[in-house]
Amino acid sequence: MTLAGAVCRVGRTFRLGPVDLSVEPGAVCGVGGPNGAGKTTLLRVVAGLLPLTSGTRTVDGRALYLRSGAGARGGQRVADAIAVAAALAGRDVDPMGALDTVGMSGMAWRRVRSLSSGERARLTLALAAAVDPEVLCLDEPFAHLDGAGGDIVRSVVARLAAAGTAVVIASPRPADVGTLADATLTVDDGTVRIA
Amino acid sequence: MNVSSWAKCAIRAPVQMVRIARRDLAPAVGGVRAAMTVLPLVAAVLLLAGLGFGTDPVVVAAVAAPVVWLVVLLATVPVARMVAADEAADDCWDLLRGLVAPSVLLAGKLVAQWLLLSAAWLAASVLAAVLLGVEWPPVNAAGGLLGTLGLAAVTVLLGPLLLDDDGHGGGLLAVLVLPAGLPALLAGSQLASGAPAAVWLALLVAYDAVLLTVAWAVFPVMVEGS
Amino acid sequence: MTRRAQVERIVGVVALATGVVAVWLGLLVAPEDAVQGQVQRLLYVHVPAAWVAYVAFAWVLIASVAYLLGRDLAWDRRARVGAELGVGLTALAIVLGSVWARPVWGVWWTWDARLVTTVVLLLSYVGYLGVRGLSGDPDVTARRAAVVGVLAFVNVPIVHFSVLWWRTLHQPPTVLQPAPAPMDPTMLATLLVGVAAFSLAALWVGLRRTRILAAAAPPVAAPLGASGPIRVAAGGQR
Repeated sequence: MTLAGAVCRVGRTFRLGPVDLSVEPGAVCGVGGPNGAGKTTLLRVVAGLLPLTSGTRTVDGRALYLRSGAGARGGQRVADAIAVAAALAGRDVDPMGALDTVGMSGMAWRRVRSLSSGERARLTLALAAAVDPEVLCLDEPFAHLDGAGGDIVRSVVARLAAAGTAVVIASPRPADVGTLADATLTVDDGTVRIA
Repeated sequence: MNVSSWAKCAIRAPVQMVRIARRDLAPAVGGVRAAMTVLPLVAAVLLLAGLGFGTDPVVVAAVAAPVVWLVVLLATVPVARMVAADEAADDCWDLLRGLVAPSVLLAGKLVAQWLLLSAAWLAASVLAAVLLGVEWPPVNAAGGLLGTLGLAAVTVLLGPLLLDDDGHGGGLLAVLVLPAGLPALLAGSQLASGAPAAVWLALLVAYDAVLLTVAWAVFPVMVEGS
Repeated sequence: MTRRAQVERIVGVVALATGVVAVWLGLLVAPEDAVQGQVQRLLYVHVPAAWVAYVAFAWVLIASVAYLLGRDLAWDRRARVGAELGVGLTALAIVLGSVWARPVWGVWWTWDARLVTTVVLLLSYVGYLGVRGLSGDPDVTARRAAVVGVLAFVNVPIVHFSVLWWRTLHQPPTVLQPAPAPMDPTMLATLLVGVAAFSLAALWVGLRRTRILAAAAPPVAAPLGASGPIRVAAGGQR
């Protein structure tokens, strides 16, 4: 995924300054910065959800953006949510395998709306693992999670990166990503720098 | 993109489209809400219309066709929420946009909306036949299918408008759907009343062609940045 | 004075002059209609208003497509102005038509294909203006409005034909409309001058309103500073 001279203006304000960023397959990039600095904007631009005002974005394959707890409809059963997402991605995945990696195998038949926020956060990770996009943007995946949950995030990210996914993780506390990150960026009022 | 990945995309698109449609119609996601919102609406409006128009069966039979179509037009408002607003409420809109190209998303949602609206039309027509004693000519079925297809194109195209609305976009949607749905109402009613079919069927075909083309052309713009 | 302001002033002056001539012709010069009497003079306003309204709606289509192609917010402003003009003039035309119809046809309203189409048109563009109020973000609003603008216009011919066919099915053309007699040349001239005056006035209003909207648009903030190229690779290279 490459951004060249990417500028994103939302309404009248420039949310993201000219950014030249390239993230190679298998790389993990942490993004830190205060709230409201533009981390989400950067991730959404990387994932192709926000159109660029100028500059170019090239991506080789699919890019997915996920907030903590996103990706499943309330009425779906956990296993079905994973199966449907994987099917849309054109992959034949056993939902139980994905649930195992996040420690939720016992919850396969529960409805998504009955899950706690921590469980939903882990479900999002399972969905990401099941879809296995070429570029994955996780927005504050550590929110709602305790230490054990944080370990799950890191292990899923490591596994995806090892399989060739470029992962970009936004967190107000870059220390959460820890040594997993190949590079850590800071976003400050729309300007992106290496931390 | 080389030929083989292009071919993969070409095969994948219809499959994705079907999956989106099935997902929308599945009871867990949309089907139950749709049934629970639309069917009572259909029954209530038909009964009230029948009562409101009086006891003369001739009068009631004459208004049955337009009332059926009016019900379908009204049903577009809750059904339109299923396109985007409900997805966003469950934080699934980003996932869909990431996994599925806009035109495929349009096609999948269109199929689901078409099935839902034609189910509403069918329910209304059956209820009208049973409760109001109306007999529908065979060509009415063609009118039902073609008219609901055009309406489905409109609701999918306008569905993303409800993403921002905090709940009061429904009225605006009705104002926008009404003019867009008027040809379906008129043609459908005429076909159901036994008027000469050819000209009305031709109108519906032209209507569907125009709306499907417009929807295909501008839906990607509607979802961009949403 | 900028070229734009000059053009605006010229258009305004010519519109005013034409308007004065149109009023003079309409009220004083044109002969009284043999059948309808003085009330026929209302048509010198009604017909131009309706005509310019249709042009305004066609303009909304053009501006909407131009916006979709170039994403220039200036086209979005132009589309909005067109819709505002169109809605106002359509409402005026309907009201005047109704006032005219009462003495001439004996009714305030009738189920005529053209009238129904016009009301539906009004509703469509009122909806268009309503869409503009949904989001605070000008780009999102512009995108959605452009889509609705295209949809509203392409629907018009279909609605017109549906209503026409439906109308002819229900009733043979009745004598509700007086057979158009060959028009007195003075009346025709008055009407044409009226159309010209209205068109110019609408153009002037449109130019002014676009200018006001452009000036009122909050200024775009200064772009942010760039940072150097960043490359993130597996294994930690910078």
